[in-house]
Amino acid sequence: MISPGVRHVRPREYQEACALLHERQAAPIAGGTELYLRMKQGVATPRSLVDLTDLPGMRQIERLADGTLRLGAAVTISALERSPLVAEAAPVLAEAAQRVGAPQIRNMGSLGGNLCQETMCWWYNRTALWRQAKEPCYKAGGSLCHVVDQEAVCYAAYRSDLAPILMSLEAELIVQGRQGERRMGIDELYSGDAAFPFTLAAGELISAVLVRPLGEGDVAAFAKHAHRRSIDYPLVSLAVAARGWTNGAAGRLRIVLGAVSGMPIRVPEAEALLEAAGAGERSVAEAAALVAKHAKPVRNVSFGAPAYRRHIAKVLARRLLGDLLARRRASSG
Amino acid sequence: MRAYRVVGQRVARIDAREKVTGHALYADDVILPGMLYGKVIRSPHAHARIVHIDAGAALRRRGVKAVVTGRDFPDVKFGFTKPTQDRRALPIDKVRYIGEGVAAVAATDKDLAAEAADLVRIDYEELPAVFDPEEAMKPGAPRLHEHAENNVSAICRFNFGDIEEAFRVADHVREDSFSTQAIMHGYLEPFAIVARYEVVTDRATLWAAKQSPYIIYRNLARGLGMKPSQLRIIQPHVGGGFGGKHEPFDLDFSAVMLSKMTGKPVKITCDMEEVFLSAYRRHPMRIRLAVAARRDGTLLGYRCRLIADGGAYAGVGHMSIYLAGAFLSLPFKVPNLRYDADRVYTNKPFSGALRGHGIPQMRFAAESQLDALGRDLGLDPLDIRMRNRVRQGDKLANGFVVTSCGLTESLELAAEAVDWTHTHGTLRRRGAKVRGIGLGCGSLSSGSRMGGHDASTAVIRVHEDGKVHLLHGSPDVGQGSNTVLAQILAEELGLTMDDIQTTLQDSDFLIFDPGTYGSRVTFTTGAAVRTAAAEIRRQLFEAVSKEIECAPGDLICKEGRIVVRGNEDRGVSFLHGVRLCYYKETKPLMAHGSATPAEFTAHFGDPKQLTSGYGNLSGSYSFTTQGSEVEVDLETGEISVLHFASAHDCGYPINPTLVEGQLDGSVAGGLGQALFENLETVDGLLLTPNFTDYGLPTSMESPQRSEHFHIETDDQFGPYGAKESGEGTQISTLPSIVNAIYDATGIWFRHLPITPDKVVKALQETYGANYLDHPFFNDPAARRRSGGADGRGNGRSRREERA
Ligand SMILES: Cc1cc2nc3c(=O)[nH]c(=O)nc-3n(C[C@@H](O)[C@@H](O)[C@H](O)COP(=O)(O)OP(=O)(O)OC[C@H]3O[C@@H](n4cnc5c(N)ncnc54)[C@H](O)[C@@H]3O)c2cc1C
Ligand code: SF4
Repeated sequence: MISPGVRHVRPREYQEACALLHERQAAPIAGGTELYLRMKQGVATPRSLVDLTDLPGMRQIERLADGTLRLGAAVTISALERSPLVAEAAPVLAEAAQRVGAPQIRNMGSLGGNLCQETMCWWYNRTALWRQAKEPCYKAGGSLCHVVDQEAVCYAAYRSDLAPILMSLEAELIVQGRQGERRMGIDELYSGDAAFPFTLAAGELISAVLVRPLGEGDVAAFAKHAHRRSIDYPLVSLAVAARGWTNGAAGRLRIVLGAVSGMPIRVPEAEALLEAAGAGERSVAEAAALVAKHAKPVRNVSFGAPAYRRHIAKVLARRLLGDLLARRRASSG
Repeated sequence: MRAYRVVGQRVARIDAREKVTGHALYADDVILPGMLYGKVIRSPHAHARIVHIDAGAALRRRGVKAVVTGRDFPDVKFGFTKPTQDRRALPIDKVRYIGEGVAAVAATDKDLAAEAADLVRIDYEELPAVFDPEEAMKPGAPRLHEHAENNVSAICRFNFGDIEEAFRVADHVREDSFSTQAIMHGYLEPFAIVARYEVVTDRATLWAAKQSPYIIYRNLARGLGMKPSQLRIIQPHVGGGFGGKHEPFDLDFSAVMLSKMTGKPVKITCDMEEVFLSAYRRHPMRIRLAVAARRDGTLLGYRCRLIADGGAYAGVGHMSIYLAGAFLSLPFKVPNLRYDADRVYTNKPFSGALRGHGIPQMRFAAESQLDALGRDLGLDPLDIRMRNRVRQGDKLANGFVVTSCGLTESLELAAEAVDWTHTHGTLRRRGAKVRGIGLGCGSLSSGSRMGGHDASTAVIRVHEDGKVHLLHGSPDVGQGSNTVLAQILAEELGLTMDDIQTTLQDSDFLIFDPGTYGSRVTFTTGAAVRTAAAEIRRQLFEAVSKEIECAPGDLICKEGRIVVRGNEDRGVSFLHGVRLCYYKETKPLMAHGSATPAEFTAHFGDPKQLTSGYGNLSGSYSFTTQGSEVEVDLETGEISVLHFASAHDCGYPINPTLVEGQLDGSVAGGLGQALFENLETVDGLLLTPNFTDYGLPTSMESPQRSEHFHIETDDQFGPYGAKESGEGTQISTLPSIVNAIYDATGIWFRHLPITPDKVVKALQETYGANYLDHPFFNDPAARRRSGGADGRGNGRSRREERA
């Protein structure tokens, strides 16, 4: 149940928005597809909601003078799917967008909300009625975890479908705060602690995401594995982006795993293996094994048997990386 | 050749426009002046004594009007049959599952009711709980109900023919174990009720999302300590049932009692999570099945041991296990049967009826075992089915009588649709994907005789403007039965669909009817409509015959007119006939007709009958064969259903489009149980309490191609020869898919659901880590030699034993 007394404000300027967000128990909201659900379940209890959709540039997709793709944080997922600018600069992003939830979710849900969606766990993201039946876990203020009962560490999963691909593309975020705006790599958004997954301070919000377009010789791909073909969150996802890959240059690879940890995970060892000249079939198999090794899924979501998710990480890696290598070979041969 | 004008046609549903425009009224849409909102307080414990309930703090909140607990109800229990009366309106001594309603509050608005629910303090003393049915049967296990030793809530002990002899003379014997999971009905409308108690008349009116007012009315009245005649049930539109809206629940009792306490109408609408946590579900079953066969595939006997996880209450569970055993043989003819089933209480929500009711679990086991038998004996599974199929006129070992049967044609059609002879057993692989095909057969009773009153009744009134109004007692819960009944009526009176009106059920006006379950509505209520229509015709013909001076027997209804047979220019319009009745004869033009196939059937409301299992269940049985093609991604374990061909004998399809809707719907349902759905619990706590976590298949998971074949067999009892088409088709879906996966992968999955993780694991266990390179997936000749089954305890075959 959502408490009836929640205030909803719609500022038009960043300064005002950040000031409002700095107040106690204030939360940003864009499409509300994720936040409202947590509010209904009683695991988020903001007293005021600061609607970001009217802030300048928030709903805009544009190419900056230097070619950078600038995506306003309140741009909807379906807008990403359909934008000609996205299709031109980073078609893989549109592909990933198309795999998010279902059309209704994508019509409301925003890019910023997608990145800032909370981590999830089937012992925690539940209604009060359900949670009553179980002792509160570490994330809920208790002292144990129902998933891995060893220490006070949370193993909830971060399930954004856009984060892995944006991380592989080395996207940057524009963050607005009371002191003005700052810029940071998307990897800096994550704390690594699944109980408090983000590094944004009180009063801060993401206003835009910057993506360096894929140019000639750049290759990127995204794969998602879920229980059903639509609606479902990923059980595992994998994003790969390679810059300077098929134009004979050394090549720079980013491999990012999603949904198996409290944040997207890069697999630098696998990247290095395939970046190396002379990488072949065997390197793909080795790299895929490394990816699977980095995936440490736990039993925290439905249909997410850990051994299976690790297996799928390997299958996805084999498929995407094998394809990547084939493309490099084709271009050089 | 049949020449019908409305019946047999693909007419549009009569409620389509109302529903798609959002005008149809559902229980939660009902708003009455001064109405309060209720909220049920549910148990967080799987098994606990209720020590004390303190509603003081809640009642002190402004706007909170009443709190009801089990103690506010009379000290009675209700249930399906006498020995299974184990439920109360709300529990008084203890709770038996997480999510069980314990108390309810009523307040002036919904949010307040929810807040007040949190303020009611309930002290529990936790008790040891038991979740596994076999654990629950052991001595010393926690006992759920005082009356049930070893927690057994119902049993079946069938013994037909000579089972020892069958196994003694058999050339081949195999025994296998199977298990099925709990699944949800998946109706999209959650439970909702509005109740208004009227002090002066001491009656209560209910608007509730229910399938069968009659069943609800009897049980509800008992739990409330009222007489059935004190309740009036008005049936709004229902957002799906699938067998899931028969029982009265905590919210129903609470709403009536809260209304009585406050003098105001009370609405309670559950959210979907409450439905997931508290509604009944399909029985999980553990089945050990031994089959005795001749070398040529002739089935000689089945010996079956079944343990059903019944959850916390009995519900109609005795019927569920009876049905599982009753269909141990049908659609095949097996002369010797031994069936021992126990339905066991556990600390989970209770199990009950769900599309196919107990039968899909058994047929999954028996029919997928037939394919394994084929492999043992080197026989084609299609030949085994053909050899053992029932035919019209057969009487089965358990007393079933088959009066019409299109199984032979259905086997032929389905097999041809999937190109069985050329495709089954062949290697079809592309990259990591392999394909396979499977067959499954099924049969289902068209209605059966349960407790209480059994006839369906239709009441027809003709307005003086010529419109015809139909009232009957079996709610259309989305399957389209009102459209079919209107078609029958239009046909009988020579009218069009536009001339017919139907009203949803209202117990103050209708004559009681068992309701919508067991695939009985078209079959039984449809027959009642015909009888009533004949009586309307009689009255009309009498009036018209005087007017045009002919014998009443010479008249017929045709194309909006009442005319002389063979001389159709002579006659009057239907409207003119109606007016003759009213204005000249000064008689109301109305009639009722009722129908029951009871003369053909045994009475299965009797617990002794359910336990021993002998007798004909139904006036008629439908038959289906479904051929399916699946594609298995060997790397990810994902299974896609590519093609589904359903060849179905429903006697006669009164509305082929609606029958096809039932076919596709059952395929989706069966596919969900086979591959996707599972109500997974840990210590009695449901881990999938919403549609996102539960994973109901969507249109994206539905077969890419679906084909339907209608087989007409012209049944003796059903209207226009029609039999059931609501549930039977879901029975063959499970084995058809399981067998197709068997064909594709050589692995026989005997534990549902077959999720991708299980597929990968089974592939690794059967063919080793590099299974993609295994001959089974590379060498067409190797296919007949290898293969396996998931889990331990593969079947035992006498041949193997001797070897
Ligand atoms: C049934 C269902 C299925 C789903 N499936 C998927 C899926 O497959 N893949 C997937 O990736 N997601 C999925 N989602 C999550 C979906 O909610 C997000 O994808 C969506 O993009 C969130 O956007 P929103 O604007 O609605 O977020 P909101 O609900 O408005 O906000 C989400 C969170 O982000 C914060 N926030 C929002 N905007 C900003 C900002 N600019 N700066 C800082 N913080 C901000 C909010 O405070 C809140 O904490 C699913 C959701 C549902 C309900
Ligand atoms: S992983 Fe553990 S601590 Fe984190 S939400 Fe789940 S149960 Fe709680």
